[in-house]
Amino acid sequence: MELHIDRDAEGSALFRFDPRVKLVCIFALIVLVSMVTDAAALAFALLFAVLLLAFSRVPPVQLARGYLAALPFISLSSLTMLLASGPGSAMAMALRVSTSVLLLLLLVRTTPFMDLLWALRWFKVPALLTDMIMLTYRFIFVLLEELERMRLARKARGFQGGRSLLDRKAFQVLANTIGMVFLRSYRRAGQVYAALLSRGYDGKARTIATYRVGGRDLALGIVFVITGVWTLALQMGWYVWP
Amino acid sequence: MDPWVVLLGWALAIPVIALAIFRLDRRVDERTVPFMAILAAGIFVAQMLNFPVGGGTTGHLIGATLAVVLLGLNGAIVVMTAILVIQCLVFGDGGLTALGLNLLNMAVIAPLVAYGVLRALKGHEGAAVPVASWASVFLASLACGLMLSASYVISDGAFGIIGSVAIPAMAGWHAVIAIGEAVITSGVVLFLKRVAPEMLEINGPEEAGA
Repeated sequence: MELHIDRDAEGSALFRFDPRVKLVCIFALIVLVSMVTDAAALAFALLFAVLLLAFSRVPPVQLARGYLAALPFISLSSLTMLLASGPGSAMAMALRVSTSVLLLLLLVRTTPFMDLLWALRWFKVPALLTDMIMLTYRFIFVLLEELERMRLARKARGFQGGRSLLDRKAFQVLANTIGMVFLRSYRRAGQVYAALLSRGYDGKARTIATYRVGGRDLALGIVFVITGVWTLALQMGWYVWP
Repeated sequence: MDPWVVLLGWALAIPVIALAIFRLDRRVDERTVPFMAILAAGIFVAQMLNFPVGGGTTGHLIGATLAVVLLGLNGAIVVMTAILVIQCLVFGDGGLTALGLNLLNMAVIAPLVAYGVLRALKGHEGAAVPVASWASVFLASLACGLMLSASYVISDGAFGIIGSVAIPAMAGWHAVIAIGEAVITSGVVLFLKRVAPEMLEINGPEEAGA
């Protein structure tokens, strides 16, 4: 299993925009959307997200995959809303979560992950946290490959996965697998540290991202503000055309 | 989720996480960050392994107790935070608004409960880890049920789920799943104790003073 979220970033129309501007715009709109209950306002925000995604030229297959990954979550929350408070709230829930998911996808698919972290650090998120997120992100794929090899080996030995919590053997195997993942990562940490040192690491990550807020960033910001105000207007029932 | 509950979640989670980062920052050397990151990746990957619960359903590990055992309370809070942020940003799990509450449940409440139980049961080797992992999952899910029902009450039904459904459903179901967490966490700790006891001793002396 491999996931390269940076793969499409460079081809996208939003790639050259300042990640700080994208971060603020998208986070602000998501926060606004999370408070909206009116279906028309949510539909408007969703339409905006879809249009922006179309403009960004992120491959639709990638988007569909990202959206599908969130679909169980969306349908589960909408279903509980349907049972608990009726179809109106369920519809609003589905629109709301879909919009948030698509906006977040827009952000991560058009921005290289390292630039996103650079933006977070610029907003004074502690370096300890951003550095750790950066390194963790790199290691996840290494360990996933390791886990995949171990899964294959388990399968080759005839491991079935077990049926319930009472399956002692299955849990023993799983616990040993996880223990082994930790052991291997622990052993690996020493090598990784040496590799980091040899690349000049001194406890501080540096990036070569150079962004400046320019005219198009301003334009993007204005588009987001207009969308936000319009969504709010629809929610509050202010008279707007149409 | 009701906006006010979401706001409250962020307001409660951020100070605790900030304090954990601050305390950790004072005693990290440049070796610690890569080491914690690789353990965070290990927990992240361990969360992807499903275990059978029964009736064809599966659950997966949260790993808060494991993080506390391996890294101490502050380390666990920071590691769980990093994991949840990555899940939110990269894999789109749960979305941005849920992040505040997820952080509160899984990066603050779960490690705190695990840490508390581990301290309270210090000396009872066999019981401490399973009880701590069961309690951390159970109480975190109980908190989640409470948040859902609080949302329902505050917003008059526009957000959240009514308490008489949410609390028994969340807590009851997770009381069962938590058994899996307890079994696996104890299994992993036993495994590491046998194979790599040095890993379990990293947080010993420093954590006592923190």
